[in-house]
Amino acid sequence: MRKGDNFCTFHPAVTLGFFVIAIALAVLVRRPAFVAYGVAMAALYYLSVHGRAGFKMIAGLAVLSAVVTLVNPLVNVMGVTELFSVFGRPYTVEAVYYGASIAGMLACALLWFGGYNAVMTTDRFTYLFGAVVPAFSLVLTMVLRLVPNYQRKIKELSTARACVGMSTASGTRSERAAHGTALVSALASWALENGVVTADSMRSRGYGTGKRTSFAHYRFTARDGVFTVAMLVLLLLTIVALALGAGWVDFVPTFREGRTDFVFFAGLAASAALLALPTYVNVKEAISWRISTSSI
Amino acid sequence: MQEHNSMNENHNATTSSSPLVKDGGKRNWKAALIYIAVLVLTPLTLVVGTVLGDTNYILTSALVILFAMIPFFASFESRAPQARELVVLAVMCAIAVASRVAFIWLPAFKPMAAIIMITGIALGARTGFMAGAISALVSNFVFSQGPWTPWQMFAFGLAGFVFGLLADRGVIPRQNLNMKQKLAVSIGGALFIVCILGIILDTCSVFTMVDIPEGPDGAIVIYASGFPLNCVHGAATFVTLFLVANPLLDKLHRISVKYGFGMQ
Repeated sequence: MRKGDNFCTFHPAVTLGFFVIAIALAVLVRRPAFVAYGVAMAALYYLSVHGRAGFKMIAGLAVLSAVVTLVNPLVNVMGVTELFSVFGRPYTVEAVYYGASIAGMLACALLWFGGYNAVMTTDRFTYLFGAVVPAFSLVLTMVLRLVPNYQRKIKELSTARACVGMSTASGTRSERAAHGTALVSALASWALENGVVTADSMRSRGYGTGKRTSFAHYRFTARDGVFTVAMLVLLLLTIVALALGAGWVDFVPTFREGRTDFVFFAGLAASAALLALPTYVNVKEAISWRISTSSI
Repeated sequence: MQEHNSMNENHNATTSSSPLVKDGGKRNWKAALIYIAVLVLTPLTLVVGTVLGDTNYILTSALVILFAMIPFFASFESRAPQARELVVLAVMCAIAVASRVAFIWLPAFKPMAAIIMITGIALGARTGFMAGAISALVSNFVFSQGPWTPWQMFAFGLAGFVFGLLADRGVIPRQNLNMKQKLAVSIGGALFIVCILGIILDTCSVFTMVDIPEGPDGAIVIYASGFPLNCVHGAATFVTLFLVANPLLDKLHRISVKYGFGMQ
């Protein structure tokens, strides 16, 4: 469990569901108000997971977004409101807006992926997919374990070979290529032999005789149920509002937005609340932890 | 040893399927259902993506690519592969991902695609696809997952699939390539990277990076800027295939002889 992250203690299906919804909303809804709230919520969650270290990523994304926003009008000449011209091509307000919208979408999606990478660890991923694609998730688990193992083995092999003057770090290019090849080849012999032993061991322990079970055990608790219901209700409200045109926006030829009535604000509030759910979970836990330690 | 052979009792020595993989997948109604689902889901996604407007290229394209992979995963799962197949596949994927370390002295040298092609040649088309998809997925656990993940899985999977298919059809021998065959496979691998794998990955960039209203111009810029990188990747693939294809194929063959996987 990561410091400050309580959301990762929820059931893997709930966390995966949330990230799928969050990333889909980030990519699908382009109206500036929705994008702005989306980026804000994604950034808050990112900070609640990574703490102060998260500011580095956010600063980087801010620079990237600014570049995308300002460069977009250079390659994109749509729109009618000309600010000035660059090399005879118009630099338009609409293109700046459109660039900002793309930048916001990218930043938002990357921030949610950042959260996803922290929360959906490989054991949670294989727990979820173990039932649907058992062979695939078993291979995935094995590969994830073997890669660092092989990297160590390659280091061992190359150290041993360097002692007898067959280092990949010196010599002519073709010599080094030959040494590199010998390394891969030695690794493969050892790995395949080991693999067959592993497979026979799996077989004699009854691999494939029953339904696959998971090493990690997650239970769908009341808390997961509450979170899921809240998430689905807010998602439903958001979808209704979007279907009624709350998220409509057009950048060409002029910048136009959809309705600005109650439906719009309700949809915006629902989507913002939906995206704030994991941050709320984290912050609430941090506060109750503070209270419980201070009352000792 | 009898036990090992009984694992592969369905294996017919006269077919060209790989000795390491029991590849006797029979088409049943379940498989048909999966194909129908894919054939319905893909156009549906495209239609919904179009109806929703010009804002959904990343999601629509990623979904289409994901659907395209469903039949491969389904046929792999429906065979209920044995422990040995799974382990050999896992070992080859891990070698593909870890092989960058062996060539760390050559920056920008990416041997992963070549190792996947070799795996495809040795184990056949379907397993080759899984090797590519899994290697791409795992290398993204190390780096970072993103909208590009399904594209990379599909592109590398296709590399394993195509070379596996060529071996299944008997175009490429499964071991002991002579000089001419080695050159042909290496050149073929390099061309595949430049003409197919690179293009698929650039198409991912087109959908995620390009400003779509700018349309074809922006796409051409991305494809053009990707071309030199694809050539470097292709050259790395050529070198890797030329150097390690024979050693790896021979080792895989040796394993199948030593432990009697389906070899008569």
